[in-house]
Amino acid sequence: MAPLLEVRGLSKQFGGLAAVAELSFTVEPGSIVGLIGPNGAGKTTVFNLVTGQLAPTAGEVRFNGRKITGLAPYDIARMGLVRTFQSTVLYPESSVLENVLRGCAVRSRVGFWSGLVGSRAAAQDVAETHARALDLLRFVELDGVRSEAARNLPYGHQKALGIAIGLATRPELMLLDEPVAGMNPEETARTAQLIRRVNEGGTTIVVVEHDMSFVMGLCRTIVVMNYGRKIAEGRPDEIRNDPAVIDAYLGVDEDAAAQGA
Amino acid sequence: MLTEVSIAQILVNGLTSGSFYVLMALGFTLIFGIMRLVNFAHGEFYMLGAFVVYHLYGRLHLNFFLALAASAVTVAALGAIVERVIFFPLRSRELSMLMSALGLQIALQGIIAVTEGVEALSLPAPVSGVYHSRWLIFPYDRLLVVAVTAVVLALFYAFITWSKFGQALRAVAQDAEAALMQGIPVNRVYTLAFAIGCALAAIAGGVIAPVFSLHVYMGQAAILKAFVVVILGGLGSVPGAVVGGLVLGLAESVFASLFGVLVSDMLGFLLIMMILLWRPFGLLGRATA
Amino acid sequence: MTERRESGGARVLRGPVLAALLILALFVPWMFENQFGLYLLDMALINAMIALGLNVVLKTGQVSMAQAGFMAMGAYTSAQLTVKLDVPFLVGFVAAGLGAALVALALGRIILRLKGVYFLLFTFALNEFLFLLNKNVPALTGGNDGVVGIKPPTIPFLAEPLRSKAAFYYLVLVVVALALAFVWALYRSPFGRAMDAVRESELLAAATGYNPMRIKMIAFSIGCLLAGLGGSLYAHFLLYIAPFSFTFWESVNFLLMNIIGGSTSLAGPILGALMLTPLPELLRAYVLWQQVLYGLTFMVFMRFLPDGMTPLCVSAWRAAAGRLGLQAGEPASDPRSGS
Repeated sequence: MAPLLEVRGLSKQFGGLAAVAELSFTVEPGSIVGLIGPNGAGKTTVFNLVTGQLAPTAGEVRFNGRKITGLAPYDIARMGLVRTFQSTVLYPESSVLENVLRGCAVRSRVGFWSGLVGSRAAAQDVAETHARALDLLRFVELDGVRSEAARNLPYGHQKALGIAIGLATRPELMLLDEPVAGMNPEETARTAQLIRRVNEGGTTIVVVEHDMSFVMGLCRTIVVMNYGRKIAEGRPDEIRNDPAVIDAYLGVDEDAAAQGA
Repeated sequence: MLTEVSIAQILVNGLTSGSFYVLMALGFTLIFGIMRLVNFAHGEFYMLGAFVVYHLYGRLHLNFFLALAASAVTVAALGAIVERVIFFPLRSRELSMLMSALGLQIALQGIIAVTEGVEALSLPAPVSGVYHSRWLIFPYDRLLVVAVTAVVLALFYAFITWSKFGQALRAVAQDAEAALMQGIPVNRVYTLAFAIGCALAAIAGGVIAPVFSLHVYMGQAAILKAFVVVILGGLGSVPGAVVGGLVLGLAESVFASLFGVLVSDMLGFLLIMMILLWRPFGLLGRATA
Repeated sequence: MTERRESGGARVLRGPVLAALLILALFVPWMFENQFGLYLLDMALINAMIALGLNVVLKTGQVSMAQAGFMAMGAYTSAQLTVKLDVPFLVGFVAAGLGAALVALALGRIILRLKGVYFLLFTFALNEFLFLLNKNVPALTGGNDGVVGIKPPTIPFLAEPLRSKAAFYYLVLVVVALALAFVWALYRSPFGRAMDAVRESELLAAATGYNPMRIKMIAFSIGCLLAGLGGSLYAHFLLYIAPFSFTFWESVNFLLMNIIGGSTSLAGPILGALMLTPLPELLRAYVLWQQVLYGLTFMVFMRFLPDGMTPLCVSAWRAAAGRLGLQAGEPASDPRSGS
């Protein structure tokens, strides 16, 4: 089966600093891939490059065989590749339901003029979108707070809403940027369950995370980065024992010990 | 036309009006740099400064420089009050702050129009006399403006670099959150910055008023120039205001002698639009968030 | 909070209320004894049209200070076409709108990528530049003297041009009603949802498939289209236009109308225009105090009433309707807390 996402020789230079250097990996359809590495390894930059928020200095990205490097974020999202953000990005003043409706709207096939005059097709589309949004809210267990303003939600619910909005666009591939950052073990387990359910529904996932047990428990393939480069790739048990990986994480601790303590 | 006016004259005219512009734009860019506020009311503080000087120096015959200093202090105090009452509650809402500045501009102009009338008033020049030579003619009162600008810049530089307040200002301009965590009283810094900005506007108004006449609407023309200068040099950049002011002064002088004054007015706004599109952070500014 | 059902203002204006207002509107000219009141009403409706246009632009999160400039484009286009080229009013009217919209489309491509305050500053400079242009190009605009002798509007199936203020009133009423209907439909449509999304978070909107540039360009063009049409109406109402009618302060006025009326609902710009247009006349004896009042009002609204007057009017209406036992749409729930 052809890979869903191919990253080939991706590089990004910021002045003299190489945030990402010649990164290559693939993502098979239906899988859950983890992208890990010490702080500053370049993981979020990779997401920004893949989704078109940043232009790479070299290399290319292919999605479903099509080259997507250089496309605008909205084009890439429409193709079925969507991401969530590390610092939760929502529509703060709008209700939870409205947030999800905006994600759904992108998939509607009603044209500008048809929507304007309120044709029967448009009305039907509105009803279908509404139903789909409610389904999504039930799926992430947020339908109870559907009228609450997004900025009033507790942190964990905001993260779930972010995932729901992404799901609303009916993606083939979702990139989740630190979905359980700052969560307690209970919330983390719930989010892991949610992500598994999303994956079982047919969406391929790539997760960036720092929580090791979360990543090891969830992902079937893990890619490890350090200083912008890939240093290891494989199954969780392979990664756990990989000397390069241990070195990267231990090295961080050693540096901290030498400087600070 | 070029043959009638010497190149030296064009240069000198450009540099003197450039100094006017620098003085006017300094406070404006400072307030934007620290508070991210486009202070539409800047022209009215400029005008207020001129009126205080008019009363102290023109009517009460106080020494000109004393009047200038008193004006700066008075307007600074007013600015501090305004900042606390009007802008502080709106700190997180950038657009609302901007609209409020607009409202303040309208209100201040109205108040002064009621209390001082709308007539143009004139002030005697603090220094009189004209420099004559074969190639150059310029009055000494304009030279005074250049001198004051230079002194103000020097004082400001000293303040920013060496005083505790100045360093606090720099810290807040760079990163307000980080400054807060370092224990710098950011709110008080904002008030101070606004007050200083108003003081600079007042000095500009006070020193320019004897050169041209003063009237309640003089702030309008001033702020338009300040806009051009600050966008040219970069919103928030003090060196940028200096460069921008001089560049604008020179460009206008050249254009005016070639094409006339009307075209040079349009030049200013054309420049703003082009700069905003090509390099929104101006010639010297940085692309900050 | 933005709930996508109709805002409070629209909820009140349902069925019977709307019908009653429309019928009332038809009889308005008879209610005015003096011509001056009718003059103010006509001007208010013209301003409402342009303020409505600004509302469309504001809905995508862009604050334009050039609305008066686009109004000027429409006014001069319509005026010169009808005066110099003897073109019929309707052609001038349509050309005014289309011309302004096309300029907006062309400019929008380059300026709508400017964020927040930079866009505002650009439109400010643009407005000033256009103002100076109007003054300095007599061949095109008549320079400082402006354009005189503009003819009142002529409608194809009417023999006489609309010379009276009452006749003009019906024309503006129809135009504004059509514009309102269009914008209302726009805001309720999927495109309206897209506009809200782009305003609230351009980042998220783009990341989930909305094309922010396209949405902002369409909104900006519609907003300037309405400004151009309003400009044409202005020219054919006053029969004389000059550069001083289209300064930055006029642009500020349109913004103020949206702020005071409330930019979150459609009734806002209309309400704002109806309130602000007569003000200079009512306070004519106290022009300077009027200015102070303006400025203070601005500041008070920004601080305490960021959503403008509409929520207050809606609550007042509901309270009154409740006491009279009238049905006023759905049961009271503050649109901001939603239910």
